[in-house]
Formats: sequence, C-alpha cells, structure tokens
Amino acid sequence: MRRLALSDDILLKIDKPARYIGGEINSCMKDAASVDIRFAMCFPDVYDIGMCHLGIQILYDMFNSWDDVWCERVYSPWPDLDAIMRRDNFPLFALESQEPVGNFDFLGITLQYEMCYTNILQILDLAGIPLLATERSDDDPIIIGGGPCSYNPEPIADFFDIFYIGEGETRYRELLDTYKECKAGGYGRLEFLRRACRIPGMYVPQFYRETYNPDGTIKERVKLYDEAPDTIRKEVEMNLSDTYYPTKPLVPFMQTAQDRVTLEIQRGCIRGCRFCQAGQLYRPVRERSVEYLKSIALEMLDSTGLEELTLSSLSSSDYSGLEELLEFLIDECNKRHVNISLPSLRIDAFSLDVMSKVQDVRKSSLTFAPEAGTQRMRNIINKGLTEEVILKGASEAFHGGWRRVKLYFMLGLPFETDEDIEGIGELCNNVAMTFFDEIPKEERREPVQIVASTSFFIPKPFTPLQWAPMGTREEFVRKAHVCLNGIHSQLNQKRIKYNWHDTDTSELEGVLARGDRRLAPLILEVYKRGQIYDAWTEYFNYQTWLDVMDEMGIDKDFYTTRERADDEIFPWDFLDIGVTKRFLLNEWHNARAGIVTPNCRDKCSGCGAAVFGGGICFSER
Amino acid sequence: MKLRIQFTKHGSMKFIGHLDTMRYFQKAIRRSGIDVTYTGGYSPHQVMAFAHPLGVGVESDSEIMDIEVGSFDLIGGPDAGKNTIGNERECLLKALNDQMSEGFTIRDIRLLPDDAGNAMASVAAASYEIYGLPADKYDVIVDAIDQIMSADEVMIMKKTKKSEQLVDIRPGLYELGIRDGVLCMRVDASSAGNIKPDTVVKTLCEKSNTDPETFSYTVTRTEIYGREKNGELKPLIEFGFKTDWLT
Repeated sequence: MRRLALSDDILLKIDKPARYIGGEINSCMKDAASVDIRFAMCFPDVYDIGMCHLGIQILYDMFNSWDDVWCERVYSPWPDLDAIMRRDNFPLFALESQEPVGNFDFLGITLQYEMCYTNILQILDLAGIPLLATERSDDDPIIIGGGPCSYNPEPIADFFDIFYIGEGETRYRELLDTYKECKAGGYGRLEFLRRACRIPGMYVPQFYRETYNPDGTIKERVKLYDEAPDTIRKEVEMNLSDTYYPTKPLVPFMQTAQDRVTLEIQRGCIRGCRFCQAGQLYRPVRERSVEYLKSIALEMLDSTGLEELTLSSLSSSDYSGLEELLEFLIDECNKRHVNISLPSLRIDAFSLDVMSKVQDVRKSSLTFAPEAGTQRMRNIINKGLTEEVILKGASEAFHGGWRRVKLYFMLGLPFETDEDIEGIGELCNNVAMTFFDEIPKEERREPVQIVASTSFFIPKPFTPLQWAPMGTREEFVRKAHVCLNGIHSQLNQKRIKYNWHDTDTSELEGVLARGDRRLAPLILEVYKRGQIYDAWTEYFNYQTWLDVMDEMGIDKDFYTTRERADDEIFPWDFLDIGVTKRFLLNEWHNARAGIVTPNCRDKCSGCGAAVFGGGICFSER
Repeated sequence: MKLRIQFTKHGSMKFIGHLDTMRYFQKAIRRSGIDVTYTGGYSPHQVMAFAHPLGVGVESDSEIMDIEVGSFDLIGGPDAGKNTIGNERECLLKALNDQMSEGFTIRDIRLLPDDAGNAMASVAAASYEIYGLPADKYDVIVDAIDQIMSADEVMIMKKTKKSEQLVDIRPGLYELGIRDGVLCMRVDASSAGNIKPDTVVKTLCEKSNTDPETFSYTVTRTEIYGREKNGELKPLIEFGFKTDWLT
C-alpha cells in the first residue's frame, strides 16, 4: 500500500480528503530511484478545479512517457488543510509519491487566471521554497510558469525562475536535457538558467530589469545578462495530429468541476474579436485531423470509463471537419451510453439538429454571445454576429422546442454609450418577441425564458484593446443599472432575467492583467497578510488589496482607467506571439472607426502569425 | 439478469465517500466491458444498487453491490470478445479486478436468483471490527460488554436532524466481544434499526468510564448479512449462485 503523507486524523478532520490521496485511475507511479528528474506540476487552485485542466494532463502524459522523468501533481490545499499545514509546519507534498515538493527538481505552475497569484505564493511557502527567485539556492526546485497569464508575466516575475512562453509540447525535452547536463557537470542554478534562457520560448526574468519614465510608463528594458535574448517568441506545436495527447486521462475519485473526456479539436480561432486574448495568443488556427480525433476519442472513453465527452476549442463551429466528427461521435457515444456536450457552437440549423440528438431540448438552454447590445458596438469589438443572425437562430430554436435562451454581454467596452447598454434590453426583448410572433399560442404552454448576463470588460495584453481604458467600479455599477433599467423598460421584461458579474474582482483582475514588475511587492504583501484563494468570493478580500496599494503608493488607475498612447512600451512587449504590435495597433484604430476585419478563413489580414509557417495561414481560401 | 458483486475497500480508499464509490464503480464497469444494463433517456444510468453505504474513514472486507446485465459477455475493455462460456464468473471477476485501483478488490461475483430481494432492502445485519482500543482498559471494557449483553435493554439517546429520542439498542446487538485485542460486533444494519459501530463504542465507553478522547480507533466492516426464510443470518453474497450460471 502507498503511504499517505497526511495522517488519518488530519484526513478525517478536513473537507473532501480524496483531494489529497492521489492513486487515481491512470495516475502514474514510478520508482523514484530510477528517474533523473522529479517534476511537480501544479495548478494553483483546489483539486476539484485543477484536475479538469487539459493542459496539465497533456504535459503529465508527455513527461511520464519519458523514462528519465517522473511528473507528479500538486494543487492548492483548501484553507482548512492550509491552516493545519502551517500550524504543524507540514511540507506540501505531491499526490503520487506523497513526498515533499521542496525536494523536486522542477515545480511547474500553470497560470490560468490572475486571481490565482496569491495561491502561487501559498504553494511556494507551504513547500518551503523561498518566494523570491533570487533568494533560492541550488537545493530548491526550479520554478517554471506557463499558460495564458505567462503572456504578461511581469507582476509575478520575481517569483519565477523561468516562464515557458507558448505550448509545452515543443521545448521541454531540450530544457530537461540541459538541466541534466548541468546536474551532471555540477553547475549550479545560475548556470542552468543562463543556458535555459538560450532555449527558444524560455524567459528568465531575473536577467532583465525595467526602467521607468517620470509618468510611470516603461522607459526601457535593460538586460542584466548579455546572452539573454531581447525578445522571446512563443512556442507552437504545428502538427497537432502527431503529438502528445493524454489518451489515458486521469480519473478522479471525487466529483470535480468537469468529469468528462475532453477532446481538443483545434487551437486558435479565426474570428479575431478585439477583446479576446485567446483569439490572438493561440494564432494561427491549427486543426487536428478528424481521423486522429476519432481514434483518441475512443481510446479515452475506453481508458477512463467516463460517461461524458466534450469538444474543446475556442469556436467549435469553425472546425472544418465538424460534421463528420460529430456524426461519428454521436453514433459511438450512443452505443456506449455516453453523453456529448457541445459548448461554443454557433446556433444555426446544423447545430440545432445536432443538439436535438444529444440533449433534451425542453430541459437545455441555448447560448448566444453577442457581447454587445448594438451593431455599432459589435463592429467596434469585431464580433461578427448580427441581430438578424441571432433572431434567426432563436426562431429556429423555438421551432425546435427550446424555450431557454442565454445571452452573454460585456459592459464597459471602449467607446460605449448608454444607448449601447440599453440595446442589450432591446435585443433580449426582440428575442422574446420572436418567440411570441412565431410560436402559435397552443405551443406556448412552457413560456420563453431569457437570461442576460453581463461581465465587465477587462483589457488584456496582446489584444487590439490593450490600449483601451477600463471602467472604474463605480462606472460598472452605474452601467449595470442602466442595463437593468433598459431591460425593465421592455414589453417582455418579465421573461428576461439579468445577472451581472462582481465589480471588485473585475477591477483587481484589470490591475494585474496589464501590470508590471512594480506589482510583485503588492502581491507578496497581500499574501503575507493571509490572503489566498482570491478567485473564490468567500475568501476574496478586496479591502486588503486596496489597503496595501494605498500603503505602497500604487495607483490602481494607472493600470486600469488610463488610455495608453499608441507608442507606449508595454510590460509584455518583449514577448513575440507572432501577431505583431503593428497589426494590433491597426486593429485598435479600426475599433475606434468601427471598421470590421474579416476572419482568417475569409481573408488574411496579415496579423503576423504566418511566421510560424503553417496552420490556416497557408491553407486555401 | 442480476449479479451480486462483493468487494473490499481498504487503505486510502476509505477516504472515498459513498457517492464517489458508486461513481468509481460505474466507470470501472464501463472500462471492464461488462454488459451492464442502462436506463433510457438522455442521461442513461447503469442499473446498480449498493447494499449499505459505508462511512468515510471506515474500511471494509465485504461490500455488496448489485448490477443488472444483458449478458455474461465482455462487450468492451481489454478482454473484449473473449469466450466466457463455462467460466463466466471467473472471466467477469478478472475483467473487473483488472480495473481496480489499489485498495479495492473484487472478491466474488454471483448470479442472483430471479426472486432475490434488492440489495438495500435485504440487509439485516453487519459485522465490524474495531482496532485501537486502549490495552489498559480491556478488563473494564470486557466487564462493560458483559453488562450490556446481559441487560434486557440498553437505552441510548439518538439524535436526528429534528429531535432527540431514547432508543433501545439491545435487541439489535447480536454479538459483542473482544478477540485478540480487537472489538468485534455483529449488529442490526436494516433500514429500520441500523446501529452504527461508533454508537456501540460510545456506549461501551460510557459503561466503562473510558474517555473516548484518550484513544483513536479505526473501524473495518467485515460482513453484511441478509436473512434467510428461516430467520437465520447469511452473508449477502451467499444469496447468489457461484456456478451453473447458464442453466
């Protein structure tokens, strides 16, 4: 029997002990003495959330396919266990071996959202690893970050030894081989980092320094190690049909946020919505082949026994082999009594037909994401969805038997007026009108239900709107009320429900998203005052953040409400995602002018992603 | 056709709760290729029933679950298409055991007769072993056991969500004793009169003036019983056939 790190007494005292015992189906056990590298892969949130993340599963599978590496997992202990571990000075352990993470060679941390930054410090602290990279010794693990937030790593740069910029499939082998060379040669941490920073995609923040202008903007980036590259280009896996994929995904014992097989059908998105970070970061669009997807889907169902399968991509409707793939999957899943869930499908005749085959239309709801209430505003953000298309989709859906419609919008977009916000209510009302106009009275026993949700727009790095000002909390609250009143003034207001997102979280996310290195002391101090799990409303305490900003003289408005000049140097400018800053700036100007840019399939707009030499950039149009 | 499956739950698997254990077995059965029957509708479920939920932290040598199957063939999994005729039980046993994580073992699979009652309603009793009693207290605990077993009634306060109620647990205490330093008991486990092993330990502590805070114990369930027509207790697994499934 595997020995557990925690005693029975502790495990029986805390909530959901299954989070900490490991041993799941398809988890990987190896003989620690037989490997050269111990790698701990961490999602800095609770197990229930972190276990569902596909990226970690891909890397876990890849690392463990190599004989000289043992990759294990670690998640943030929930606050109940956190308190016990601090009280007893109990070191953070990895789930597979149950051994302390502090003794590992690497600790990889995925950065999925800004609100997990204090949890990164929790992980390091509980593992007994110095929080600041420059204070670590040769005995400490190499701390390496990756994932969406590594595209502006500066606010957390002080805590990491390396950021891996881009997709993990391509350069880890090289990095680990370099590590082994250094270990064999008896070279220390610094020499390893010096060699690592010469591997494409690797950013070693301690080799750089920023200087600032009197107005607080960045003056220049200074290299502290001559051999370090000036810019770091993101890594991309160009052949997604011949690469690592976890055909034996982990099967947790406990219920997690998403207990299902995830089939990633493509990376990237052709759409180019101007607010969307993922749509720029993951260019160019690369599809996996239908044959490859068919084969791994069956393998995953067989190896897990999971009862649900979902497609993953930024916009599944744009996948060119969708019809063939879905026909196959629906057939196979029916045979196996497996459910299919189909997120991010555009509502049209085809998708409605497919959905009616896999779900109970009376019980399920349809989702539209117009993102803005008027066509003027949708043109500004380049969301190529018209009211006509929405109403046509809704009409078809109502005829197909659906009665519940969800609509997603953003408030606080650049150049937004109150008329644009009131347009949200009008659009919702028109959807309801469509129902009453088109569905005869005798079929209206179950009435239409419309749920409108708004989130607050947060400008993100590497988007055309990265120059835009973000609204204040006060403005957000006012706008939410404008929206609410707009809905209440509609004829069918009783059929429309309205939700809006928390304003405090949005504002802090805005500060961190476009932050620079001067925010690291803030994050550190907030953590030292006991703050963790900021992504969880029950633990988030914005006042602590505001207090520390105040004491440190950090002006949050500098990061949020300020409109950036066209030529401002951004903290993330030294990263190269293929898409050029010139293209993004041009898109920012197009946004201001309300000019729509066509999607990648219709016409190439020369964003720069063609530099990777593949994907949609080179396919026939 | 209904199969009765007997399994163990040891080691760290004791931290897996009852509902998660059910979900674990649903996935394991899928992987094994056993031809389990599903309910209809948009979210089909396996026809599956557990005899008695096991509390988090309790280990077991003998848990019971019934499933309905369409055939004794393996319709998927690593052994798919294998000829199972003649040794159906062994084949299914192996197929399911191959899918277990450390701590779960399939001990037996039996075919239930058509008239067998459902797993949960059939439960009459369960036996438990309690490890970790304080050695210096054996004598007083043995005295307390004698006291309890010779009494006509043993009243305890039973707390429910709504109220507190005095109940007599004596009729449900079938066996109670210490064997090799381990407290062994066989108690009522029916839905009407279920007695938790913790309740018995607590009662013993009270009768022997032992502070329950001074020691920590672990519980293992060793058997679940049903009742034969003549009233005798019989392990639930033995209500099924071991051989001759096709006759």
